[in-house]
Amino acid sequence: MRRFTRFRSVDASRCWTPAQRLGTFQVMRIFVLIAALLFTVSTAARKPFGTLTVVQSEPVAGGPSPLSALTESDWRFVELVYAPLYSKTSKGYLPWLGSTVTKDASGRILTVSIADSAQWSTGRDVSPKDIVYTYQLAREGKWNRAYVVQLDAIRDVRIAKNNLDVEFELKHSIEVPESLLTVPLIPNGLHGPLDDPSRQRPLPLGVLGAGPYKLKAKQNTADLVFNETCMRRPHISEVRFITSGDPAISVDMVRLNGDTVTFDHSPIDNSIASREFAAGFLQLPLRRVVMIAVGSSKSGWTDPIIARVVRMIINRQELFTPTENGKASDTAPAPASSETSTATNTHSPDVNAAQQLLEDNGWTRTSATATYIRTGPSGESEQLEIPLLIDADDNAMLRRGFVLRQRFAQAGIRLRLDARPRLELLSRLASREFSAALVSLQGDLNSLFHSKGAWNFSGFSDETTDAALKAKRWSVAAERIRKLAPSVILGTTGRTGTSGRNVMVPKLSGAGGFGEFYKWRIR
Amino acid sequence: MHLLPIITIAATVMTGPPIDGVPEALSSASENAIHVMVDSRRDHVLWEVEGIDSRMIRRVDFRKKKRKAKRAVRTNDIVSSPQTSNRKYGVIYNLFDEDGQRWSVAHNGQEPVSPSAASDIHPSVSRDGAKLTFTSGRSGRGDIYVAATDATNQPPKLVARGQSVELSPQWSPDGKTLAFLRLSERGSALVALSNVRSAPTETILADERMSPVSFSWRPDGQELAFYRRDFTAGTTLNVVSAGGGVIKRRLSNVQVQPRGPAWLKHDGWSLVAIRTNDALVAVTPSGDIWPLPTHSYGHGEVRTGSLFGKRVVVFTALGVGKDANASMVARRVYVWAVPSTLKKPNTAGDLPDFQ
Repeated sequence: MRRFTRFRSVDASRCWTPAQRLGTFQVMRIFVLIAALLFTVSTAARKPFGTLTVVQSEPVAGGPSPLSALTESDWRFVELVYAPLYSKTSKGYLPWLGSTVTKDASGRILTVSIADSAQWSTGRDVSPKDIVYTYQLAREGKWNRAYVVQLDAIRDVRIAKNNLDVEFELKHSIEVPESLLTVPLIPNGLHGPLDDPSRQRPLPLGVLGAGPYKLKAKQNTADLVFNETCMRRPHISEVRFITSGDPAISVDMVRLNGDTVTFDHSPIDNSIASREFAAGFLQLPLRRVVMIAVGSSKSGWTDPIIARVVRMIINRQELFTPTENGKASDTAPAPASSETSTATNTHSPDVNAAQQLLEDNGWTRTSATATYIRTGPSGESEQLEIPLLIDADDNAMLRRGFVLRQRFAQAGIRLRLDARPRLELLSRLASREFSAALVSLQGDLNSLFHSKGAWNFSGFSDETTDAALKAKRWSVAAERIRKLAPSVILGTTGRTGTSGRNVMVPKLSGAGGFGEFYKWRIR
Repeated sequence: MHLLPIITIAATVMTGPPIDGVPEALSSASENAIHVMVDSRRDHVLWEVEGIDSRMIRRVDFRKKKRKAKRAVRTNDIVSSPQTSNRKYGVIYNLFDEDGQRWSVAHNGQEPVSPSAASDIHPSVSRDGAKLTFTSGRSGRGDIYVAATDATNQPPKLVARGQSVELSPQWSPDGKTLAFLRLSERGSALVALSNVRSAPTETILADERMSPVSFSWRPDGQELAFYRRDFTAGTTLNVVSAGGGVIKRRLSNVQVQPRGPAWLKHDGWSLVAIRTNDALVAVTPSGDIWPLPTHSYGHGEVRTGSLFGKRVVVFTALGVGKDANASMVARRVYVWAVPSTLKKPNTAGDLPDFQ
């Protein structure tokens, strides 16, 4: 620095370019230094580096597969360990384990070829048999129904005559065939034999994927190391999962450990986190739908009069606090949309009209309990009480439950909250044997209301809605659903999380928000 | 029960101790209150208020003529986790420094311990106000340190260091033992550290199979209570002896309190909890569940303590009674003095709402 200043002070009047001022030898030295630096950086960039700690409230349940994952932590694990034929990114669909997809003249037969270097983490090649196994089970949706709607267009999946490719026979031609090929692949037999359903089981027989990471040691799903055979090599060498049990603790862990991320919802700490972690504060484009899902069991929720009354009482605005990225809305978002539907909550609650409607239909409010009763055909009086299943491990949902109960009580309806542990709630939702549940789902119009939708709890089935959804006429479908479906959409919330100061976070756009994890870096 | 007349007394008009059995609102309906605590030595109630881009600590002094919520720490910086110290009206708190992007433990704007590049969080002060403990990232992972409260810029002493992260240290009432949470890949463990000054010895009170989330000491130091969050069986409230041993489940289906369970001297040492159906209850050592008739709903957090020698339950809730104009967004702080006689528990069935 001193030399540069002296040099410039002597020759500045005669030297016009920086090169002239420094001299050829100096310029060459700088070029050599820059080249050496670039070489070092590029070499370092190719080598996975650092351990990233992912802190989450929920534990990962024994090595889930894409066909059995239920909770958010399950899906995070799946997206790190498994890989699809094609992945959806911000730049469209990009090949991963697949290399090409071709259509025949009718557009109904797709031929997918597997990339030459597609291998499982054990080094075994990914075979057409593995793809057929994955897609046959995924179409059935035995354990989580995550891909049933997406794969609805597929009539059959089989190994091509050349024994190298896979043929997908479709019910009709589709515009973007890659959209069918985003199911993370599992090896043949992971859930039991395909030809013997009685021996198939929800718990996979092990963990074996072709994604960026693999288990560090057998049966230890908390420690992952990078998978050397993966076609997309990650920048980070190890990922460690820690279960904190509470979102507030997760955020504290990020504060202490720079190389840490958490994807927990933490409304309490959102205000601080947004300021403290600044650019490292993740806000994923994926939104969750908060709704009262009406199940198949008979209850007041399925009574059309009570369903109308409920809609008149609910004030959606009070169910969402500003710090949790909540937005009141009476429709679910359209698929692949990062925004909520344009139709927001336009109905203001009208308790008087709701009470009038009840009284017009034979309900009488008692002065003793301030709730409505009705005398049945057998002469027995029936109290207006409706049950609501709720997640006991989600404080934000519990708060919504209490607010709803208070509003219902003011209108003369007794809302009986039935709080259950998360896994019990999920299994009851999957079985559909419940009256109504307050749920927060990573769903959209298709998965919630298509007759084969993954989260269609009430078994809602309407040909017009299905046709509108297929034609992507979202507003028509939303209007139809509003008229016919007993379930009540309350609004949407954005998934939030926090990343440590030493973690470089690229924009997230994968299916579960983690699809481009391999691009993450530790500084 | 909800037909009983409810009187909610507005803040700023009362003097003296709270009235038995009548919930009294301390905070404004426009501010969402979190992390409430009772300072029984000075008859204070403190809590935090979160804004869109801020957090402050408010305090009500029950010895003052007017019961008014005031700022306990005069700063525009983000502050959190208030702890009372041995200085007059002193509060030790966590302060976020935006320039340095770190959390520090602060006392009247000064740091009792020498600063580092990493954050210091979860401060806890011993009952005599002399000793401070906190978790610091200065060692690279998150370890437990101790220091004196009445010094400034002193080097803290490292007392607990594990392979993973140690969080939420709390002094025992006699100031001789520390309890803290140790987090690892397998879950969390509750650890007691005795002989802190001379030869620290660790005892695991609850291991990763229990995975405690938050805990608190019984005021006489004989036991600790902790929450266990089990996503397959629901959250439970458990008790373990300070020396270790058998863990007893006291209550199931409860909401986790971030600052640990609240103890109440009632029929032995009871625990006050918010259940997942929003009921505020006390559970005795024999397992009797006493509903606390506060007539409040939408509970957030609950703490216990004493004001003017009276047992009080301080809680945050969306509203009390049939207040149709409750904001339903912000939780207010309420203080409820425990009546000398409580209604006997319903032994016929625990929470019929919930069965």
